[in-house]
Amino acid sequence: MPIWMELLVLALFAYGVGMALGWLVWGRSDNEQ
Amino acid sequence: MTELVEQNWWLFVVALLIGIIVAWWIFAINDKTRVETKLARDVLDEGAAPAERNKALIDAPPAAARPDLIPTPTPEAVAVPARSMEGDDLTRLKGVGPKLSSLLHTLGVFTFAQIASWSDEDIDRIDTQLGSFSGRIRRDNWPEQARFLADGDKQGFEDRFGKL
Repeated sequence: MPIWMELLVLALFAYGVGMALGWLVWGRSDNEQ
Repeated sequence: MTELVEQNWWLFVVALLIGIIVAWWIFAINDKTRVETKLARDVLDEGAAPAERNKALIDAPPAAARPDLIPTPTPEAVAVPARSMEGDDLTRLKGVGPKLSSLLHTLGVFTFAQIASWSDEDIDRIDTQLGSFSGRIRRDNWPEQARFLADGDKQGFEDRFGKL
């Protein structure tokens, strides 16, 4: 696997973690209404 | 792998921040917009949440409690019963029931005096309009019955046609 692809996968993983954190903070309370 | 992460940690932090910002934009801002629309719309609007709408309909005062919604009877509606109250009870004629009586009302016949005054031509004209009751006028001798009843001669009526 070329290094840029490893970086891309890891960056997407970090982006996903950020989205999950955002959902936990702002998204989940909306579902509980 | 560890070396790669250590060397490019800023890239993952930026990706993480972008993820958080996008999530905030999607969940927090869109939610705010939704709250604003919720406040602006009426619960009775089409598409409102069914529970809210049903609750509002249940809590609404009944139409009977609002006099402005109760239709006042029109003068015409009152006039019809008043007219029939003025007329005689045609079912007192032998051979005339409620159905025939209402049929006569639709033909404009309301009193015994009217029937008593019928000529042969009148009888023929009315008879053709009685449908399945055609022939009853002469068979039961309505004009003579009506003459007694119009005069108030109960005894004469009972002697001729039987008990009222």
